Formats: sequence, structure tokens, C-alpha cells
Amino acid sequence: MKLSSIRYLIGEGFKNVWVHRFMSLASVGVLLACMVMMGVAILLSVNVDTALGSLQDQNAIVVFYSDEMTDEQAQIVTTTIADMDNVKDAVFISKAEGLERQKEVLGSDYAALLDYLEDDNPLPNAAQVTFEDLEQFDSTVLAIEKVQGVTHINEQRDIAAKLNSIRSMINNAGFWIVALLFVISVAIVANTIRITMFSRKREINIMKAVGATDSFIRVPFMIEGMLLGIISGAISTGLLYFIYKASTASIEKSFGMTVVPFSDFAIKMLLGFMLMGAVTGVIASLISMSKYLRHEGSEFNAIT
Amino acid sequence: MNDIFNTGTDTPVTPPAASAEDLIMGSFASEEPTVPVQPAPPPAPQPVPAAVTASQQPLIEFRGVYKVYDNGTHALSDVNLKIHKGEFVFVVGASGAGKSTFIKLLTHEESPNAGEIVVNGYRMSSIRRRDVPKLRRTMGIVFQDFRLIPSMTVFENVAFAMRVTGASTRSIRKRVSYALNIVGLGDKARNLPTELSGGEQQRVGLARALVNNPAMIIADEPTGNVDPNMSYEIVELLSEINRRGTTVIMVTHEHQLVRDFGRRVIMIEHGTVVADNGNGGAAR
Repeated sequence: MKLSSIRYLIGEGFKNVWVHRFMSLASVGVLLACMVMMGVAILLSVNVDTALGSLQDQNAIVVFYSDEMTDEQAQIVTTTIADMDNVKDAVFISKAEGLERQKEVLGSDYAALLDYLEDDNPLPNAAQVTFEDLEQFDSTVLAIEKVQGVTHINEQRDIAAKLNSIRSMINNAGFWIVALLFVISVAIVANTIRITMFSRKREINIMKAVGATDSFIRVPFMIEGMLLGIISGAISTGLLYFIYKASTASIEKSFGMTVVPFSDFAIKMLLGFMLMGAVTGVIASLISMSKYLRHEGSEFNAIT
Repeated sequence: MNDIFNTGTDTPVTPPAASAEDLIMGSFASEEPTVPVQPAPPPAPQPVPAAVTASQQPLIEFRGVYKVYDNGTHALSDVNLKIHKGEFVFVVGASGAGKSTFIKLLTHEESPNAGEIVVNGYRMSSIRRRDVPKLRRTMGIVFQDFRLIPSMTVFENVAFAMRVTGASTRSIRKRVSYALNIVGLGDKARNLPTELSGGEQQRVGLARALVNNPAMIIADEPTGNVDPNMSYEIVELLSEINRRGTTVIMVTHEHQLVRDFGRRVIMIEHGTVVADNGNGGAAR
């Protein structure tokens, strides 16, 4: 396609948006609603994911060793565990350290109660072990149990499993919400373009009569769809910024939780949404055009 | 190539044929010979020089063409005809006789069920979908209802047909003025179609049809929505365009007009050609 044509066709695309500005406004409005909902879903899942991730990091198991082992032997076993697959870290806790920790838990008022145990410490040597991937929690625990000298493992299997399922549930829900809203957006833009197209039916027929190619006819509508999408993408990112700022301020105040700062994904989100808007517009215009060009592609005399 | 702009227009700037064509119709002019059509060996009693054979190759040829619509209507049956370059042909017949189908087959809006149609070197039986626009750029179509875009000025309406071909803004400005001058509307370029009379609107349609310098003009009842004395003006203009070399095919049912202009007449009734006074006429 020649440069002069491209310039003309892009101009026509912009003109379409302007000539049908109320329709454009309506579809940008609905697109905005869709994109803001998408954005909220994404922001929610990002935050929940991060929060759950940090919770998971704290989810460690405690491995207890046999009393017959010396401290040195127990330390060697700990290094063995640390080297195992899927083990992130294994920290040795000696009997004495174990007692200190218990004192901390009890607090200064009651810590003295444990003082008399110092000479005859009943606690076994132990190690705190954290995992890399909690999906493989069960198999790793089994492997550790088989290690020589390990007597028993204090694990919170339930919590790990629950955290995992919540995380994947939120990710899944986020994905489906985004997918559904995307389909809705395509339908909305396709509808707008169909309306523009019918209002320009006469023009399209004349274009066909004077020998316009299908792509020549299609380009302005594609540009129109892209524009609507890009505008919506840009505005929705701006809106999301304010929504996020307002809602996180109160959340941080009342729950004392820290949220992921918006600036972490502002650019990504802006570009992503604009790209998504453009893709939505192109798909929508192709959908509404292909049907039209196929059915009435060669005709121009029949319609008045 | 018949360039109506190169033969005695009253516009002062008349570029040489080659340059004007290269400027605007470059693609079309170069494509024409790339789709050669070899018709069935003609019954030639004596050897003819190659050049003569080429020039005698009809611009439009129908060979045993049948068209039946999906609803069972037999629109055309066994139509055979040839229209040569430079001819002026009236196609007449009652409504429903098959005139519209005849036009639709020419422009490849419809395909025949049987037989072969060759238009300007394109075989309709084997034309590719992407070649249809190229075929249509070799013809200028004039509609009964003008088909002007009301929101565009006269100039834009004519320029529109050139934009489709990817013409540059400069050549559009030049050619559109030529075309509007030919139909006598040079001073109405900035008007909207609604500000013009019916006859003037059809002249805009005519300017649009010839702005791409087509090999043929196909006019489908061009005088149907124009008052009688304007009708004569329209046909006069078509005759003038024809005098400059462009083939004109005009569908009409105004017998008086046909009689007054005394050109070749193809009469269609019930889907068959019942009369053709042209020498290039029915092959069988």
C-alpha cells in the first residue's frame, strides 16, 4: 500500500472516531469499565500473591534429632538436609538455643521457670528447614524423615496446602475474570465498528465499485478500533492509579499491611492495557468486517 | 490507451499520454498486458497481421453465458456478444429482462453459471478475488441514483475514486479538476451534492467514473433520475467521452433517447439477446 494511501486511511480512522463521537464515547466508557475491573482483579491478585508468598516463606518445619547424637553429628546431618533437593535452608538449633527460644516465647515473666532446666536440658537437637517449592512439600518431608538420626518432624502440612490452594485459586480467578472481560470488550468494540460500518455502507459500496481492495476498506475501521482501545487503555490505567491509591491508603491504615506500590507496575500496566486495547480493537474490527466483506464483498449495485 | 484528457480539453495543461498515465494509472496500464487472453481460434479465412488481430480483440466478450439465481430465476440464457474498444452501446429491455444481471456480470458482482465472459483481458471464470479490484479500476461506473456521498464536497466525491487507487494528493488535485471541467462543473467543486440539481449530480457521478481514465464507462440507467432535457445532456457528455476513445455501455429503457442518438443497440428480453444491430454482435 502506498504511503499517501496509508496517511489517508489513518486519517479516515481518526475521522470515524470523531464523526461517531457519541458512539465512540459510549464504547470507550464500557471499555473503561471492563479494563478497570480487569485492573482491580490484577492488582488484587498481585497483592494477595505477594502476601501469601511472604507467608509461605515463613512456613518452616522443625526437624528433631535423636538424643544419642552429639551436637557435631547433628550439625553434619543438618548440612546433609540443607543439600537436599527442594530445601532452601536448614538452620541448626542446638538444645541450648532451643531452650533460649522457648524462654523468648514465654516472655520475661515466666522465663525464669525454665532456668532450672538448664543443667538437664530435655529438649532434643533440632533444625529449622524451609522449602523452595511447597508443591513438593510431602515428598521432601518423607525424604527428610528417612535421614539417619531424625526422630520426628514437626510440620504444618495443612497450612502449607491451604496457602497453596488459595494462591492458585486467586490466580485462576484473576485469569478468568480478565479473559471474560476481554471477550466482552471485543464484543463491544465490534458492535461500535459495525454501527460505523453500516453508516458508511454507501461509501463502502462506492469504494468497491471504483476498485478498492478489501484491505483498503478495512484499514480505517481497524484504526478506529485500535484508537478506541488505546484511549481506553490509557485512561483506565490513570483511573486505576487513583483507585489503588485511595483504597490502599485505608487498607494500610486499618490492617497495617504493606501493599505493592503502584509504581512497581505502572508502566507495565499502561503499556499492557494500551496494547490490549489495540489488540481488542483490531480483533473486533476484523470480526465485524470479515462477515460484511464476505457476504457483500463483491456487491455494490444491490444496495442503495 | 484511450486518454480522454489528452484530446482537446479546454484545460491549458495537457501532459503527454505516457506521463499522465504513468502518473495516475501506472499500475493499471502495466497490468493490462500481463493478463493476456487467447480466445478460441477465430475462424480466420485469410492470415491477418498480428497488430490488427490484437486491436480487433474485443474489450468485452460473452460466449454462451447463462445466469440462474439461487431462487431459480433464469436471468440470462445463452448470451453471445462482443463489444469492441471505442464502441458506444445501448443495452435496452424491459425491467426484469436481464439488464442488471448483464452489468453485474461485467463488474463481477455475479458469476455466470455457464459460459465465459472476458472483460478487458480478465476471464471471469478464473479471475482471482484480489484481481477484482484491478478489473474494476478499468471501468467507470455510473449509477442511476448517482451514489454520491452527501457529506463530501463535489471535489471529494470525485477524488474518492482516485484515493482508492493510491494516487498522490498532487495528481488527485490535477485530475479531479480535469474531470470536473469536462462535465462542466469546474466551478462547483466546493459545493455539496445536495446543493446541485439532479442533472448536475449525475455529472459529478460521470466525473467520478472517468477520473481514473478507465477503458470503459458502464452507465446503468444514468438518466433514470434526471429530468428529460437533462437526460440529453448526460448522453451528449457520454458521447463526447466516447469520441475521445472510451468505450461506453449504457443501460436504459428510454427508447426515444436511443432512437435519437442512433448507436448500436443490444436488446435483451427474457434473458436473451433478441436484437443487436452492431457488427461486432452475436457470435452465433
